[in-house]
Formats: sequence, structure tokens, C-alpha cells
Amino acid sequence: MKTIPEYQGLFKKGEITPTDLLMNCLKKINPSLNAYITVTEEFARKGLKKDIKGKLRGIPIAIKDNINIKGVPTTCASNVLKGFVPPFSATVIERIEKNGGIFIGKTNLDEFGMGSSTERSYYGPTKNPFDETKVPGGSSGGSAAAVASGSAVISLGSDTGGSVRQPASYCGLVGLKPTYGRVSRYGLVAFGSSLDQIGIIGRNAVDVGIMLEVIAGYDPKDSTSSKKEIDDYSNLNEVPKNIKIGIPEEYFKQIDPGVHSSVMEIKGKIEKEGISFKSVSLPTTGYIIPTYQVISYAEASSNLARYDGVRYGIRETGENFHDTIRKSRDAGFLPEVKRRILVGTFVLSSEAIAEYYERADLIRRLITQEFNEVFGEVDYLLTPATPTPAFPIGERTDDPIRMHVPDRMTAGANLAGLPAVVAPAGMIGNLPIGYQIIGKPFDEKGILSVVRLAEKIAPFEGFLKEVRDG
Amino acid sequence: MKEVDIKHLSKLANIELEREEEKKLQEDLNKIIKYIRQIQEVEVRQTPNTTHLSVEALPFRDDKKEKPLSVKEVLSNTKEQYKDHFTINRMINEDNT
Repeated sequence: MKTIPEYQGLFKKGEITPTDLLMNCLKKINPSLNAYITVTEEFARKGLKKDIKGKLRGIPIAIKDNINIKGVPTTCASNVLKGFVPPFSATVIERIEKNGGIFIGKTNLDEFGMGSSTERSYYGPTKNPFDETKVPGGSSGGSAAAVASGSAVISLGSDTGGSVRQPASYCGLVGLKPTYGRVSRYGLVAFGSSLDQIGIIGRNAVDVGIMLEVIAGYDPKDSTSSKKEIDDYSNLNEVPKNIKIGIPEEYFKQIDPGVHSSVMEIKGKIEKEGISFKSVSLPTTGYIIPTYQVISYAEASSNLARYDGVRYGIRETGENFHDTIRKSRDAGFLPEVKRRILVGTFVLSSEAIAEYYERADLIRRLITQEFNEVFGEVDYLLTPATPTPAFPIGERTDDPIRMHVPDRMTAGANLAGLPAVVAPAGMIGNLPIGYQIIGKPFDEKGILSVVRLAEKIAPFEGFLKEVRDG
Repeated sequence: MKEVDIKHLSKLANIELEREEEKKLQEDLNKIIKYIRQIQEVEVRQTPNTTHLSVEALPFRDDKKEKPLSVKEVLSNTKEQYKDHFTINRMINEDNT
């Protein structure tokens, strides 16, 4: 497996060219995985011709299809946006272009990011490259499948409740959700605005750090982006010995025994490096999923009101103005999105807002306070990334409650706005499984440094042949 | 717990549902709402509201004019237009329930 700096070293020596690397990645696109909605070969070739020098020069990158690239269709895996070609690029896309990155394609997702399996896509399900009968995770499942199967070196996703980290866990990759405000969301299609962050899926901590250096930082076009200085996120060689890592007991309940032992093995290895661990408690963890559901559905119902068929997307002709809008929305959305819009509309309705939305908002504050208190005692938290490895395709599509189960490990970081990273802990049978490090606000460098340390002392050996061979 | 009124909600959410779909969604909604009701168990009397997520005040951008999208670009994805406008069915003097 090669890292981004290694590829660039080979470019410099002339051993391979960026065109060779692009061709190699294009060859590895496996149609049966259905990782891509649009492959942008021509666009990538044009990018190569420009030969822009920078941190990502010549690196093939896959982009989740809810992030705009000017002139390339954005579908959000929804029929409602059929034919939509954005007239502007997301800020992250402009920053990658300025650093010489090459866009190989737009990847599949659960419609508008609403799901944990990438099965709920208008363009069909994405499959897990380790076992095509299993889901790749979601909603950034296409971005994870692309990187795990070698057709992209690194990818962008978005993470509202775990949508970058959970697929990273199921596909043996490093998935980072930055602090709320660290990366501009201008040009990311909104789902839950107080939760959404653009995240990164790569094969190692250094690659993810390089990408973060490129995309992080203040953007006047996103009023929630922070002016805080960015770090050298790819310089991850030192983890101070005096750090303390917390083990929140609630995160280790009701998980697969194999997940438990894999995460504990990582803990044991880090401990041997002289880093101390401490048991801590986050008592409200059991309420993370319903709290997340109420807040994210409420925000989704508001954000998705914009799909009315007037300015973009499909339009079904009705008898009058309202009829046209209602018919267009009915034809445009799949059932899960409708469910979430309807529940979101309910929790915001005058009869229910106090009992549901306002209450969830208070619990969110409680969850945040618990994290803050724990971060007075420890510097990082180590948890499993998901309660189980990837589940079979079709197993949960009809169960709107069970589909949310993996969110229990990840959505807390979204509710509290914290940075969190998932990295491979090992394999259970033929399927990878991840651990998660959660950090204090804006300590992306710290959490990536812990992952880098684990990579050195316990390198992941489960990468597929397509990736191992470069 | 009383059943949610899916007809009312779908009207509020501007989604027309076919009869079969409405029946299925009604069942799903009841299940989901029963599940999320568990948040009533949490003691929050001492907890203040979430007013913001960021650790700092949100920065304002400089108050200067920037180049907007052109009218042509803005209209590039619409199904119907008339001159520089989006068009859709008339809404005045119609039954707009």
C-alpha cells in the first residue's frame, strides 16, 4: 500500500506518472460494487493536463455525490435532483483543485446521506469490496468502497451521524469527521445543518492529514466555518507520553465480542507504548440515537423543503401550483427520505415541538456537557467504531429503527460537534472492523497522531490485493 | 400515545402520498415516534438550551460585494422559464389548499 507522499515521490523520480496512476485507478473501478454514480474520466484527464503543483498533485480522488463539482451532475442519489448540474463548486473542491488533486468520480450514497448502508440510493446499492453480500456502510459507502477497492487513493464524504466513520470501519479505512466548523460546507448539499461536516476517507492517517491540510480553514461562504488557524495535520510523528485516553464504559455494551476484543487489543498495544488509560462514564450515551433522530429529522424536513421542482430537479405537472410541488416531491424521494421528512415535520409541529424537538435539544446539551466533563480528565476517548462488522445487504432495509443501531457509536461526536476518527482495529473473519478516537474541539492533529501511533505498532494487514499492490 | 395524523403531516410537508404508501408510512411513523418517545425519560430540568455548537463566536465575512452567479447560470437547471424568471402554474385565484 502506498501513501500520498510515496506516490508523489515516485512521480518526482519519474518511475510512474500521474497519468499511469489515473489509468491504474480507472482499471480498478469494479462495476459490480456500484461505488460510483458518475465516473469523470474526461474531467480527470483535463485536470492532469493542467498539472498543478501542490499537496495532492496527480492523486485520484473520489467525491461523494452530495458535494458540488461545477459542471458535473450532483444527484445526492435522488431522483429529485435528476439532471441537476451545479453552476458552482464546493469550497473543498476548489481547494483540492488548487493543490493538483484529480477527480475520478462522484460516489454513491444513501439518498441525501440518510442511511447507514448505501442501500437506499436511487442508483442501487453499493456493495462491500471485502464481501459483496454485505453493505459497505453508509451513507458515504461509495466513497469507502472506492478507496478500499483501489479505484481512488482517497475520498471525501459527509458525516451527519457517522456517515464517514461507519463505512470506514466496515471497509478497513481511516475515516475522519472534523470538528464542526473546521471544514467549509459551502457546496455540500445540506441534510442536518447543525450536524453535517465534510469528512475524509483514506487508507492511513498521514493521507487523511494531508487532505485535511488542503480542505480545512475559514471560508467566508460558510458562516459556521472557524477562523482558527489550521495545523500541520500530516506531521503525526509524535504523541506525547503524558496523554491519557478514556474508555467510556457505555460504548462497550451490546457489541459483538469480536469487536470488543479487537478494540481491547489496540488498547493493549497503545498502553505498551507508555500511554495511560482510564475508565470513564458518559451516562446519556443510551439516548444518543433517539436524540440524533429528532434533531437530524427536524433539520432534514426543513432543508429538503427546497426540492419543489421549481428551480432545479424533476417536475411533475399538477393541476395547480401546490399540486405540482406535492407530485414532484412524491415522485422525487424514496421512502426513507419521506419517512424522515414526515417525522421531522411532526417533531417540529406545534403539538409536538416541546416534547420532542425542544427536549432533544436539551439532551443534546447534556450529552455535550458530559463530553466536556470527561475531557477534563482525559485527552481522548477510545471506543468501538461500530457494534458489529458489516451486515448483509437487505437485512435492515425494512426496519427504520434497526438501521440506526451503528449510529450509537458515532452520532455523539456530531451532537457535540467534536472531531472523531475511525481506523482499522483488525478483521473478524473476512470483514474489517474499526476503532474510534474522539478528541477535544479542533484537536484533529491529536486524534490522527494516536491513529498514526497505532498504525506503527499494529499495522492493519487486511487491505485487499488491489490496494496492497498500489 | 395517539396516532400521528399522516394526512395532516404530508400536507404540511408538501408530499402527496398514494394510498398504499400512506398506509405503510403510517405504520413506520408510529414505530419511529414510539421509539423516540424514550427521550421523555431523561432528566433535563437543570440543563440549558443548546444555543450554539462552536467554541467561538461565529465570524462575520467582510461586508463587500462579490461576483454572483449570472442569471443564465441560476436558470440553467429549471424545467421552465420565461425571460429571466422561473415559471410554474398560477397560484392566485386557484384552490391553493
